[in-house]
Amino acid sequence: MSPVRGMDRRHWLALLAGLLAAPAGANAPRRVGIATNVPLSSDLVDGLRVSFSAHMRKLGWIEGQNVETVWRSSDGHYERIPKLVEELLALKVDVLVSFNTLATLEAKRQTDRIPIVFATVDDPVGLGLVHNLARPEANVTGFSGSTDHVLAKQLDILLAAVPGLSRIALLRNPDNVRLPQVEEELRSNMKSRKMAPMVQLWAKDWPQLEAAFDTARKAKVQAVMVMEDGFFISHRRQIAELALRSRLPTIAKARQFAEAGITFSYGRAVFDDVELVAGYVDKLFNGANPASLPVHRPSTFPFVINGKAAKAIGLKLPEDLLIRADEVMN
Amino acid sequence: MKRQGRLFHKYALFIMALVCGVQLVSGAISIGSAYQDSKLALWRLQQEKAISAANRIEGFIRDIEKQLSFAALPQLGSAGSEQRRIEFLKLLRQMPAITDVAQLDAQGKELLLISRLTMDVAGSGRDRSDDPAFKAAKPGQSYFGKVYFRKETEPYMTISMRSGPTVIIADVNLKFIWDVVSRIKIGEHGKAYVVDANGYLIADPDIGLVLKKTSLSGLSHIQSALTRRDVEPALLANDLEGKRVLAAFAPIEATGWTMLVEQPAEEIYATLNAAIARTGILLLIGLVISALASLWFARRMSRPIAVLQEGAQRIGAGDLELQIVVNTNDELEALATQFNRMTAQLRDSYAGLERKVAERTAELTEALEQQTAMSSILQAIANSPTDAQPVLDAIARCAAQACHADGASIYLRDGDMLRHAASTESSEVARSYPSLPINTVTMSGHAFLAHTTVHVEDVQSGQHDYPSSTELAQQRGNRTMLVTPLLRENDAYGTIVLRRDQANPFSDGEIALLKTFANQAVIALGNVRLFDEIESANLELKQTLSMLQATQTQLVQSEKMAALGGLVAGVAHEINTPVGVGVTAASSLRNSAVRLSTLFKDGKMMKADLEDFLDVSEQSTQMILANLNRASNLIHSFKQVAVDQTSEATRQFNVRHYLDEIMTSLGPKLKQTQLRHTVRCPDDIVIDSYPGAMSQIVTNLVMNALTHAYAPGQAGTVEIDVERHGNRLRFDFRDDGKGIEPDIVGKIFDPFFTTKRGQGGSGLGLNIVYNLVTQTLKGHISCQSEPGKGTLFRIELPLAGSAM
Repeated sequence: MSPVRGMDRRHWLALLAGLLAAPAGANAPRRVGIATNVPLSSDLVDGLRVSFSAHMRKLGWIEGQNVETVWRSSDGHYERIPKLVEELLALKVDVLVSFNTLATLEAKRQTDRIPIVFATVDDPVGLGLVHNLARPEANVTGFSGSTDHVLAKQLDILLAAVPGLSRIALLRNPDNVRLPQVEEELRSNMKSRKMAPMVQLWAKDWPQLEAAFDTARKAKVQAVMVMEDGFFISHRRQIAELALRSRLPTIAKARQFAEAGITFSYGRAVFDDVELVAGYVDKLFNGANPASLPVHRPSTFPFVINGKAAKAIGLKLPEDLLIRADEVMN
Repeated sequence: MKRQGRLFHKYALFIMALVCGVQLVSGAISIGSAYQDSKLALWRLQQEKAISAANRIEGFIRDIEKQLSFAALPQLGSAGSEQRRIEFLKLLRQMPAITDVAQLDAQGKELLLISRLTMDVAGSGRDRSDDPAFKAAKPGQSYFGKVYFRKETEPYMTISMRSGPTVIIADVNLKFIWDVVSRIKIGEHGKAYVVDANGYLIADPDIGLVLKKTSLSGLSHIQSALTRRDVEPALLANDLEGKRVLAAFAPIEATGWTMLVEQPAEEIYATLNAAIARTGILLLIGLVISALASLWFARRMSRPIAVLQEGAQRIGAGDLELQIVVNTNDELEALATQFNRMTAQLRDSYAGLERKVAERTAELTEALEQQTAMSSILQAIANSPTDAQPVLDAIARCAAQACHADGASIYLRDGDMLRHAASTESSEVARSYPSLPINTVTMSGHAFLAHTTVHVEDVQSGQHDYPSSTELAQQRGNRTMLVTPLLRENDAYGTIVLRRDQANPFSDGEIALLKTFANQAVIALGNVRLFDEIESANLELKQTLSMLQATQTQLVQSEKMAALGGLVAGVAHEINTPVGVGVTAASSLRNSAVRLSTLFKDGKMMKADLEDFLDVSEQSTQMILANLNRASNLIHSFKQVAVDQTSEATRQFNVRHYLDEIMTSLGPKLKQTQLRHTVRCPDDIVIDSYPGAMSQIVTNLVMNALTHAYAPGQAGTVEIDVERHGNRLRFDFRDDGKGIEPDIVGKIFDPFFTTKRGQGGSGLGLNIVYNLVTQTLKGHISCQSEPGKGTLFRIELPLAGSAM
């Protein structure tokens, strides 16, 4: 069975299913709204678009034919998110996909009818998005980022990479969601390692970012952890630049950071779960109930080392770190 | 060649039915068994898939186990713990499914924990001795823990093993089995999945189902699988969505899980049906080939038969020159050869048959000729019953013709000679033939005397015993002669002679034929003789009859006269009395007148004398008048009867009155006897009939009774009853006399039959009655009588509307 034929059949089946599921205006294309905080002009979003429509196509949903994808970005401005969600809902999307935790929360607040698929929401149960992971029992489901585990391991990595590591800084966007439990766990881990209290760096624009690194330097911070945020990922190169300039080993979650010159990345890349998202959209288009679609938790957390960046800041990488790394970029 | 077609069809049908039937049966059996085989194969295949999939899962687990056991290899020296950490890190790097790996010391205290989700911990000393994985860990044997679900969604399993004094425990994220099961392709829409010992779904291509911690233990096939009950390779069951699926399972021994593979039943059956369809198409092709072969074979078989049949038909139509060519080198060819042989024989026998037919035709012609001859003789006999001559002429002519003789003659005995009676020659020539003496030196004589047929082949040669004939034959130019006598009951009448002018003996048939002609001649002669005899007997009878008739007429006449005489006598007697009384009275009156006259002349007449005379004259004239009246009446009556008796005319008369008159006229006869008579007749019967005949009948019957029924002086009663019966008038004449003997009752109406012949009976009385009743009055008469009981004559006459 050639893949082409398989795809054609799926396409056909999806079409048929679409026809059956839409009694009124059977030929009207399905509409999916996608909300993100990353500017649409970003190369990341370009990649995401390509990837999403490719996966959708595999499932028989062809952009412009039987599916219409509406992209909306708040361009790093969290205050725009409610409006953005409102717009998307006004477009009567069949499924709303959110690549942003705030947008997800806002969408859930605005509708309990339109299915919402989130990607990379940390602690969806803790945030009250879903009742439990196996059965969300709401119009929301998606893919958890497991940032709690990720931060612990990032700390582990920094401890292994930087001898005598005591003080680290946490780079955060003040507008982004707070995750108190995650913060608490990180603090307790640091405490158990007898580390100095962590320094919080806040930034939601370029000047603040520069100021944040200045602050880090001044506070004799030995390493920086970059929290997940649309603004940060869209300014990852600048962050890498600042880190290099500050000779600070830095770790972030998405591999795109490592690719942009950040020393380490550990965790799921942004949009890594696009295939799964497309799969859920397909299921929802076909009438699946989001309440019965379990929330996925990631099982793998790729660890990427930017060897060049490490070398540039004079970091000597121990053997066990290299063993752990899924990829070392030189 | 319609019949050829039928034979061909028959063969073709038969062979086709046989071959195709066998093929169909075997095809059906093979389809059936193919179905079963395919089904079993599919079921087995399903099971094989399950086993193969189970092996892959097993391999997946064993791979983890193997990697874990590498990481668990005892590390020596002080660098051991660092080395262990490195090994664990490598393990996590290589085995993404392992989320955590830990080393516990002999007491269950944690020496090292490497995790993907938490920070690595070395020497935490956490007491995990209660962990079943720790308790169950044995050297050289891995322990596989029960499946559990982290955060109630992700399936995990613990694997532990001993490494020296320590125990290595790894937590395996079973979501990674998804990679394995999602790669296992089961048909088009089938899937492979894994359940744990409790029926929880561990791995499924739809990871969502696993994450929902789905329990499949409610499904019948899962239960079968968990209990390992079903020995079937595969079984049909309903899946979670209630769809019909074919499921097979295989145990995953290491972990006690069960691998299941499922495929929609319709897909399975589509495969099966495709197999059956293939077999069916093959069968169909086979059938078509068989049918074609059957047609070819039937054609091959029927062709020579058709040739034979056509040949037979042409032979049947008379084409005996035909050679049938069949080159099949088998029985059919032999049959064709036989046919050809038969045709040849037929040809030969046909020729023989033609000859025989010609012979038979000749015989028949001859027989017909003879028949015609006989028929013409019979015709002659029929046409000439009284004269033998034409018959004899015909016989001579026909005999010559039928026996192919040049001449024929018939000689009849006439005294001592045989006189020539008939011949084929003309009468002038024939007359010249002499009569032949009856002796043995002529052929005819010898034949006549010896009652035998004489046949001489050449009379002129003299090689025979009839010298007289030789001479005669030489005169006439005869050579072969045949003589046969005319015999009737050992009595020869004459001879018949056939002559041929060439010496050519007659055949036995011709001799027999001549004898037949001789018999015919005898019959003809006999006929003539019989006819003559009958003729003379007839003549005699006629004369006797006419004499008889004359006598009868005479007798009737005399009877009539006698009756008239009797009547006259009666009349005379009857009239005699009144006339006598009248005469006496007249003479007495005359005497008185004379005496008175004398007295008057004498003058002595006294008044008293005149008064006496007047008294006497008055009495006398009264007496005379009375008696004369009586006589006159009598005469009137007689005259009437007499007139009627002779008259043939009809008239109307009252039966009662007429009967009284008749009885009156018979009064004198009756008075001489002691008989009383009564007449009972209605007064109103008037008929238009022959009164004479009636009178004659009554008179004759009464006279018959007087004469025959009673002895002289015997008392008796004669009754006449007349009644109407419908349109007939019945007269019963009854006496109580001595009756008639039964043997003569039937003869009493015969003419001239009488029991009183010589005593005055003519034997015509009742005959006349009979004739008058039956002929004149158109009635009929019968007689009933028994000796001693009287006689009843009953006459019934048609009234024919004449009765009033």
